[in-house]
Amino acid sequence: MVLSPVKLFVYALAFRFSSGRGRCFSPGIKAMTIWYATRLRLFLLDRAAVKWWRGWFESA
Amino acid sequence: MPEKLIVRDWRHVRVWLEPRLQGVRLVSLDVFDTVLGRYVGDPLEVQRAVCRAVSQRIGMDAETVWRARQQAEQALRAEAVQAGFDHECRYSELLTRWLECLPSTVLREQERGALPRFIRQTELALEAATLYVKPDAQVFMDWVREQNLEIIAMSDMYLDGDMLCELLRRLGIVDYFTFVYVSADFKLGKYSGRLFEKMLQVKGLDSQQVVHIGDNPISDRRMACRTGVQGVWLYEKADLRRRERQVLSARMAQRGGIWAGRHFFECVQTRSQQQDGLNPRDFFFRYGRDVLGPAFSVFMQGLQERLQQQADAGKPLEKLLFVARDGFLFERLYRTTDATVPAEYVYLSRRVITAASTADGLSHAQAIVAFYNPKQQGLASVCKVYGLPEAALQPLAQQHGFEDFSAPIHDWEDVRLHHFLQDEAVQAIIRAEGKQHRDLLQRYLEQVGFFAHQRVALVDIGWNGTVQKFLKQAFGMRKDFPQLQGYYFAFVPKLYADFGDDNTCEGIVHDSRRGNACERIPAEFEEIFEQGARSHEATTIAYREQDGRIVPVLKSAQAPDRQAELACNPLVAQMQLGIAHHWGHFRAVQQLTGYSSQQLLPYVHGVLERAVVYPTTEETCELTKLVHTEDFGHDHVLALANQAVGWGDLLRPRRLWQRLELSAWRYALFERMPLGIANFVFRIAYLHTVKK
Repeated sequence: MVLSPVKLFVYALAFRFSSGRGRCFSPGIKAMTIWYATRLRLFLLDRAAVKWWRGWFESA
Repeated sequence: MPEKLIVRDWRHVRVWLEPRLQGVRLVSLDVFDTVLGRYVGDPLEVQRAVCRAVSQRIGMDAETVWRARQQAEQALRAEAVQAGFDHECRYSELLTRWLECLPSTVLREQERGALPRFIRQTELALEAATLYVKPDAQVFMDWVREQNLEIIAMSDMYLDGDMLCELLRRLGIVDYFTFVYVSADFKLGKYSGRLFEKMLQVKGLDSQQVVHIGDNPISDRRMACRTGVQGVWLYEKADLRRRERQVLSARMAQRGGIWAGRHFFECVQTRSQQQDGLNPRDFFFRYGRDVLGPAFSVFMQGLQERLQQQADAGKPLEKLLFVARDGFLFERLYRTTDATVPAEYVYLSRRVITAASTADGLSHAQAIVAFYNPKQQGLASVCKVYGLPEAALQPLAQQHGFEDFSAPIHDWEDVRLHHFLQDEAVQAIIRAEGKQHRDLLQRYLEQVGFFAHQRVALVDIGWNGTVQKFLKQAFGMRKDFPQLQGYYFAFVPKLYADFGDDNTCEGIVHDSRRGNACERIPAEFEEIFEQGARSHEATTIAYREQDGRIVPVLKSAQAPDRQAELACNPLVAQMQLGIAHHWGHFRAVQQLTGYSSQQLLPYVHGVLERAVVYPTTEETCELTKLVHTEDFGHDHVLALANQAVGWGDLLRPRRLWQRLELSAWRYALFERMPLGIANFVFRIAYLHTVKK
C-alpha cells in the first residue's frame, strides 16, 4: 500500500500545527506540486496514446 | 508487405493468429517488456547496482566503476559500427574491456581471476531479481506450444545468448524457446532489420512463415514487416503507463526526503503483487506485509548497516543475542540474510533479569518500577515483578502498616514503603531469593556464551532497555563482562538514563534522544509492534537445571494472560508470514536500488503515522481482536482499544481526555468519526501535550 504524497503532506501538517517540525515525512510543497503537475501532464499528453496513433496512421 | 498490426493484449494476439496457423511455422517473441516485465522502470538501475556491488568488492568509488563500464561499452559499440555491424556490444567482451578500463593499481592480483565471475553472477542475479514473467504471455506461449509451433526469442540486448538463456532458465521459461537470438551475439539488431534477416537465414525459413510479436513499434513491427516477417506490435497501455509512473517515481527519488522511500516501496509493492497478487490473503497477513513489514525490514537493514560499520571501524561485534520474546521475529529475519556475525535467540525477560537484580537487596528506585503499570497492585506487584515470595513478605509488610498487600500504592514516596524497604529482615529475604535467581541467570548466560566474547549486541524491540540495564547492574562487576551494544527497534529510555560504561543503546527506527517528534510514532502504539515481533512461546519466568544444563521455565499455559495469547497466536503467525514476505521483496529491491535505511526511514515514519493515527475501519475492527500481555510479572491482559468515542463524549472533554490517555491505541477510539478529522485534531492536541 503506497501512500499518496498529498496524504503524507496532510499527516505532516499535524506536526506543523503543533511543534512546528513537520518536515520529517512531509513531501514538501514544491516537490509535491512537481509530482502532481507531471502526473497531470502524463495524463493529458498520454504518450502511450500518441504512440498508438502513430502506429495506426502508419498501418492505415 | 505484411499487415502492420497493433494488438492490445495477448488474448487478441491469439484471436488474430488462430485462423492463420496453417501458414505459420515459427513464432518469434521479443523478451524484455513483452514476455518479461520489470519491477523497476529503468533497466539502467541494474547496471548501476552491479557497479555498486563491484565497487564494494574492490574498494573503489562506484562512479569510477560506472564510468569505466560506460567507456568500455561505447568503445565496443563504436568498433562494431566501424566493422560494418550494428551499434551492438556483447557482455563477455564488455566485461574484459571494462576490467581493462579500471585503474590497474586498485585491482588486486587475486581479484583478477575471481572478479569477472563475480560480476557476471551479480549481473544475472540482479536482472533475474528485477524481472517477472507476464502471466498472459505465459498463457499465450502454452497455447502456441499446444499448436506444435516452434517459439524463438529475439532480443536487442547486451547480454550474451547463453546469459539470456540462463536468465530465462532462472525465470522458469527457457524450455518454451528452441533458440534465442540476441543482438549482442550477432552484432545485428532488430532495429535495423538485420537480426530478422539473420534469423531467417539460420532457420532456412521463408519470411511469410514467421510471426514476430514485441512491444516496440519500430523494432518489432516496422522493421520485421520490412523484412517480410509479420510483425505484431503488442500495445499494452496499462503496462506503458505503469512504466511511465515508475520512471517518474525514480526521478522524484533523487530529491531525497520521503521520495526515495516512496520509490523504493513502490518497487517492493509491484514485485510483491506480481508474484503474489492472485493469492487471497487475510487481513493479518496484509497488515504484516503492508504496515509492519516496511517498519521491521528497515530496522533489519539498519541493524545490518550498523554491524558493517562496527566491522569497518575495527570493532566487529562477535555475537548477536536476540532477546526473547520480541527478538524472535528479528532473529528469523536475520537468519535469511548472509550476515556472518553468529546469532542466538536467548531466553531473557524483564522478569528474570529484575529478579536477579535483587541479589544485593531491593532499593526504593527498583521497587517503584512495579508501579508504572496502571493496574499495579502495590507490594503484590513488587513481588511479581521481582519474583519475591509473597507469603514470607506479607507478615513483615503488615508490621509496617500495609493491611492489604494488594492495595495499589499511588504515592511512591509512601513512608510505609520506605520503612518496609529499610527493614533488614525484608532485605534478607529479598537477597536470599535474588541470589538464587542471579546464580541461575549467570549460569544461563555463561551457557549461551555471553561472557565469552569481548563485544556483544542485544537486539530487541525496545523500549526502555530494561534487560540491558539490569544485565550490567547484576554482572557488570565481572572482569569478562563484554562491551554491550543494544540495538532496538525503538528506544525510549523513560525509566533509566545511565546505562554505565561500555554499555550503549540505540533505537534504529525511533530513538527519543534524537528529539524528532515525527519518528516517535512506534511509541504511540507499542503493543502492535510487540505483537508483530513476538514469539509464540510463553514468557520466561525463571530458570531451572536439567541434565546439567540451565533451561528456561516458561509461564504456565493455564495462566489467564497466556490463555489469551494462545488464542491470538494464529493471528500473530499470519502477521509474521506477511512481514517475512515483505522482507524477501525488500531485500531484493534494496540490493537493486542500494538505498540506505536512513533514506527509507522518513517514508516509513509516514506509513506508521497513517497506520497508527489514521487506521481504517477494517484495521480497527481486526487489530482490536488482539490482546496484549507483558512479561513484567503481572498476569494482566491489555485490550488494544476500548469503546469507540461517540458524539456525546465530546460534551465531557475532561473525561474523554482521561479515557484517551489510558487507552493503548487511543486513535482507534475515533472510528465512528468520519474522514479522520477527529484523529487529525486529536493528533495536534496530543502533540502539543507531548511538546510540553
